[in-house]
Amino acid sequence: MKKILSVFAYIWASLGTLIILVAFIGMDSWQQLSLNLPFMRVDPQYSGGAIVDSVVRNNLKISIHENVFPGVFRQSGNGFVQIDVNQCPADTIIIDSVFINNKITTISATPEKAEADGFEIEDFVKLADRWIIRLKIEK
Amino acid sequence: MNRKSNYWGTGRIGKSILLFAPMMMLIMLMLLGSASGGDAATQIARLITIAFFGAMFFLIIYTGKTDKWRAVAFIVSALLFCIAFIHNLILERGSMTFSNAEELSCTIPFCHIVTTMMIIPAAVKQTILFPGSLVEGFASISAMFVIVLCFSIVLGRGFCSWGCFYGGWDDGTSRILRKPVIKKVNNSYKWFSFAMLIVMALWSAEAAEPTYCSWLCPFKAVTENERIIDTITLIKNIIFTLTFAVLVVVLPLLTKKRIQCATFCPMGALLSLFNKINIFEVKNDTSKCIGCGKCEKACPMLAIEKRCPTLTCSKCGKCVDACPTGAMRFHIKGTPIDKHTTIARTLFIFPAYTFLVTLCGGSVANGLALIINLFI
Repeated sequence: MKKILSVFAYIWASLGTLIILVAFIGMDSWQQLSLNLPFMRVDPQYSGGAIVDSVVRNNLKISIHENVFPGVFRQSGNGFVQIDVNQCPADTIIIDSVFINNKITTISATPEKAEADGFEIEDFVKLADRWIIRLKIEK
Repeated sequence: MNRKSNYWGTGRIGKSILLFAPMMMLIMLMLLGSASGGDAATQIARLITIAFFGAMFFLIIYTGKTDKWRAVAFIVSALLFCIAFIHNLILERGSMTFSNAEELSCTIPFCHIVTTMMIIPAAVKQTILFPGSLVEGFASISAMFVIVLCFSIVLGRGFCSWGCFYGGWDDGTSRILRKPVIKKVNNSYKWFSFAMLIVMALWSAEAAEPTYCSWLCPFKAVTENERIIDTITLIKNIIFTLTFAVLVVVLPLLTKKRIQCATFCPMGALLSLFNKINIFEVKNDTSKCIGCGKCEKACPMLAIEKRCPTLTCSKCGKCVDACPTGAMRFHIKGTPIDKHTTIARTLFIFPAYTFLVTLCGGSVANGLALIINLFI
């Protein structure tokens, strides 16, 4: 029995190099395969969550993400809705109540309805190809 | 008993070359296979990298000293990795710092230590709580996941001494002085890393952010840190610099122990658990042990207790090199301790060294090319 165990141990040990090589050489395939794992998605707190609506207005593609309330066990930060605005050639862009000043990279938001409470910019950033805007929301 | 006689090929050029040749082929395959073209400096750097890794492996086989030459390859890899990493960041975003632009666009490189903080969110919420890219770009989440999983299964905590591009830093500083200034370090401090693992996993889940990365990681000082825009980010950067100075430079220098890796790193603790299921181990053949205690004194990871390597052994081989009788040796679980020493050692160092070359080889070549470019 001990001898059989030994043989299996040596076989398993000798597979080590092969496993490392296969892992690195087939990295692209393994990466794709790992995406099928249930937890393999970036938390909406960072990714903004799934896009629930997209509109094209004034040659701008505007993507609206789902509501996000960050936290694992409990809500740990402000809730937000992320809006991506692709390609901003103009100096000033107005999308409903969100004003993007592309020249001086500022954004302001004004509620259209008086009952909209706590309507403010949570975060925003200008990237090479788009603006990411996060509007604060409350439950 | 002469320790050198333990290994087939030690002190014999012909036999050493027989073991070295397949590794040299692997090194060339891994470093030339994926790379092509480049300027003169890149080509020269690639050749030097191949020669360097080849030479270190040959010396491991020929001299019978595992840790000595492993450490040279490991430390050089760590230093050049950081140079190449910072250069890459500067090329991509113009700075080694990151801001909310990188966070919101999910382009922060994912490092293996983050894994420890992802466990609870991945289990509870089925999400990765890190602003990195899933597949695309440099150091994506899925690539690091595959690397960590594969290495943990094959070599357990060997990652800390054979692959971790941070470990080389305190491995290096712990070797600067010939004798330690602080002579006695309590071995039980190593259990602090398990406390760190639990605290970091829980704290990260509670705060919904990778807290070790955000607040404590010493290696932020030499890789990527948060842009200073307010008091909080200033405090964070001060903490990164202090933890690096104390845990990676000063304490390893004074104690000759890898204090950051042995006592502070939560990833080290997680990988220690994989040692339980890992086929390779370092074991003391008690029938040959004379109880000199040199192994315990030599171990940089505080892993040896009562002359036996414990769960936190990173398989660096320093105790194996230090043992005057050859009692301490690489061993394959389930096989007799007193037989096939060369086979056990060879079967361990092949995947371990292949991993080091594959993970860090490209960065070493890139870092070297940058240095060569400074002179030509």
